[in-house]
Formats: sequence, structure tokens, C-alpha cells
Amino acid sequence: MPATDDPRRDDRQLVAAAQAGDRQALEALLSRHYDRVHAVCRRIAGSSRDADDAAQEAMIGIVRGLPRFDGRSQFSTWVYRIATNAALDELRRRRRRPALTAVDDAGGNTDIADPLAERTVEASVDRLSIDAALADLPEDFRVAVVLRDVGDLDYAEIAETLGVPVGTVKSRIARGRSQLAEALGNRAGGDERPTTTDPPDPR
Amino acid sequence: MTDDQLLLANAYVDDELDADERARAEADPEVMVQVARLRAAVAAVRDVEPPDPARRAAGIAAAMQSVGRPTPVAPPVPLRPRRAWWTGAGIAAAVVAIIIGGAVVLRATSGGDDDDSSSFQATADQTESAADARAATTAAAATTAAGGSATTAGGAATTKEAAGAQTDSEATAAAGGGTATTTIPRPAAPAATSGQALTQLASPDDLIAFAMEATPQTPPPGACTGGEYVAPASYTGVTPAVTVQVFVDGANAVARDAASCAEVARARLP
Repeated sequence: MPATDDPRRDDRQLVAAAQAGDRQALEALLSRHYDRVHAVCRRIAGSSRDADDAAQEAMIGIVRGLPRFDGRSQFSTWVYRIATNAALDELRRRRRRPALTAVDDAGGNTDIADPLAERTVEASVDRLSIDAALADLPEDFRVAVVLRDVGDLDYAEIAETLGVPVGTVKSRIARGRSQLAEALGNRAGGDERPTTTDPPDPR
Repeated sequence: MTDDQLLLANAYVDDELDADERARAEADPEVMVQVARLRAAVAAVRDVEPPDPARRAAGIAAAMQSVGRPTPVAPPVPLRPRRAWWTGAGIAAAVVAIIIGGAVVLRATSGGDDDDSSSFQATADQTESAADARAATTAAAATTAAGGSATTAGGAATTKEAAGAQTDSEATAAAGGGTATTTIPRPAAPAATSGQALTQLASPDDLIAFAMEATPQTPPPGACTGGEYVAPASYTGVTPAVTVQVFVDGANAVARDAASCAEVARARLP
């Protein structure tokens, strides 16, 4: 029976219980953080399938690393560090795999091998645009932006996670967001251009 | 847009400004336009579709299953038994004796044609006799050395036989794995690899079951890489069947050809 997340117990309490062997506490911790971990992985890795794999890998990493977690940093910071590494590993693995993808008209990758692909494609053009725009960002910028905007980590936590100074984090986030805003603006502008598939209104 | 304006706009979005900085940002229309663009980008990044519930449950379940499963830490692998020093010396002596003997025989053969000097013939005869004596002595040494080698070979053969199709080093490693301290006991493997034939995996389903249930072993020296080593097996899902090394690589069970490390099969763990 799946453990239910008890909101009265904070991460610290759940971690202590899980480290003492309480499986329900461990499952509650995993359940509490899974969605955010998945979101971080989704944005870093770029596809639902890779995010699923990376998130599962991160969950396993959390379980295996928990006995060594000493509580010096926030649990969430530690979790997102694991998730970030898992997502980057997945991304590198994917680059080594033969591509089973089709390129959409906008130049972005549509993950057709993904069971969720249909849903993803149908979800919205905006999502494809953001995926493509994020994919175009340098990895350092992308990770910093994702940890800030999806992981909700503050600058210091991101600096700790990435092992870089806070100033570097600020710079990466600023440049990353700026490039992202520009790319999204361009794509939005591009969407407004007439296409050959839609004949102009004769009126 | 200067770098200063860009950083100011980002800090504004992240609410990281004090009152004075905020006022400075709000007084700069260019910064505020940038703030609006950045906020749109942030909103787009945050708009992530939720995970598939089934995959979510599977991810958490897989993690819960890994509780108590030790992260493989390779214990010291015993070295292969060293040959006694005299075994090597005997082999070296035999090789030297063969070389010397061959040289003497060649020299004697060429000397045999030279029949114009009896003194040379006598010398050759003496040399040949001496060579015969040395050859006899070194032959005995060679026999001893060969005996030593035979013993070693016999030992290896015995080991191989005990380990089925495993290689010598694999058998040694398997034996090492058997004697090494296992930190956390696990259920017995579907088929142990030491002293029995390798488990036959006919399909990806077999691979999954094996990866999940087999007791992780110490990777043999020179093992393939890519994931956590589980154990060797025989994969019969391809023709001809191949001896594979099974790994857990992330969320997948992977069988790699033990000889070439090429991936033979991959299956997603539940």
C-alpha cells in the first residue's frame, strides 16, 4: 500500500525516520519530491521518456544515498543535485543512442518513440517551443535556469548544487533567461508568418 | 540592454532587490520591458506537463525495491595464483637449452661436411657429446618444467570445469566474490554461477528477472562496463547463444556479450 504523504512531517523528520529504516517515511519522501524531480529532469533532458528514466534513476540515487545524507544542506537541494546529475547523464546517454526521432517543422525534436509523445505533441505548440528553446541553450545556462525556475532553488542553493560562485549563477540565469525570452519571442513571431499550407483569405 | 540592466531585470524577477534597487529598476522602462519578457520565459519554463501516473508509481516502486540493495563496491579480487619461481626458471632453462641445442646441432651439421680436418671432427664430436649431455640434462629440466606447467594447466582446467563456461579469470573472480564479505544478505540467485552452468536467459523477460533476483557479484577483471555488474549468464535469445555479463544500467537490465561487450539485450526494469 503506497505511503501517504503526511504534511505534518517536514522533510527533516521524514529523512530521520527513513534513515532509521522507516519505509513509509522513505516512500513519503520520494512521493513528495517526485513531481518536482520529474519536472527538473523533464526540462533538462528535454523529453518525457528521458525524464521518466532520469527521475527513476534519481529516486534510486536518493534511496541509495540517503544513509549518507548528513543534513548540512536542505534535503531538496540535495535531491535536485541528484536529479540534475541523473538528467544530464540521461541526456548524454541519449546522445550516444541511435536517434529514433523525427524532426518537426520548427526544427525541434518530437520524441516519437515516447509513449507519451502523442500527448506531448497535442499538448501545445508552446511546449514544443519551450523544449526547442531550452535545447538551444548552453547546458550550463539551461541547468541554472531550470534549477531556479522549476526547482525553486535560490541562488546560493544553485551555487552549492553546481559548485560555482553565486555570481556565476546569477550571470548564467540572466543570460539563459534572456536567450530563452528571445528565442520564444522569435518563435512566436514565426508562428504569425503566413504559411503555404494555409492559403490566404481571398477576401 | 547592458549587462547591468539585464542583471537588474533578472534580480527584479527573482525579487532579490532592495527598495532602492527596485526603484531604480522601475524607473528604467527598458528594464521593465525586459522584466516582462523574462517573466514570460519563466512562466513557459515552469509550465511542465505532470508525469504519467503509471510511470510515477513505477519510478517510486523501483526505488523502494532498491532499498537494502548494496551499491556494488568491488571487494579486493584475489590475484591469480602465482607460479612458483622455480617454474619460471625451469621454463627459461628449457628454452635456453633448446636454443643452445639447436645451435649445436646446426653447427655439428655444418661441421660434418668439413671432413678435411680430423682435429676439427674430434672437436665437433666432443662438442656434440657435450651438447648431448647438456641436452639430456636440460631435457630433464624441461620435463620438470613441463610437469609444473601441466600441473598449472590441470589446475586451470579444473577451475574451468568447475565454473562451467566461465573463463579462468571469471572463475577466480567468482570464487573471490563467493568468499568476499557481502554487506547485506540478498535472496539466492536463480542459479549460482560458481560450480554450476550459467543461467540461460531466453528473452528480455528472463533478463529482467535475472537482473532483479540474482545476487550481484564482483565484476571479473576486464569486465564490461556500463551500469552495475550483476552476474554472468548465457543469453539464448540470439543465435548462436552467447555468454553475457548482465548489468543494471539505470532503469534497464542490460546483457553484454562477455567477449566483445556489445549489447545483446536490453529490457526496462519494472
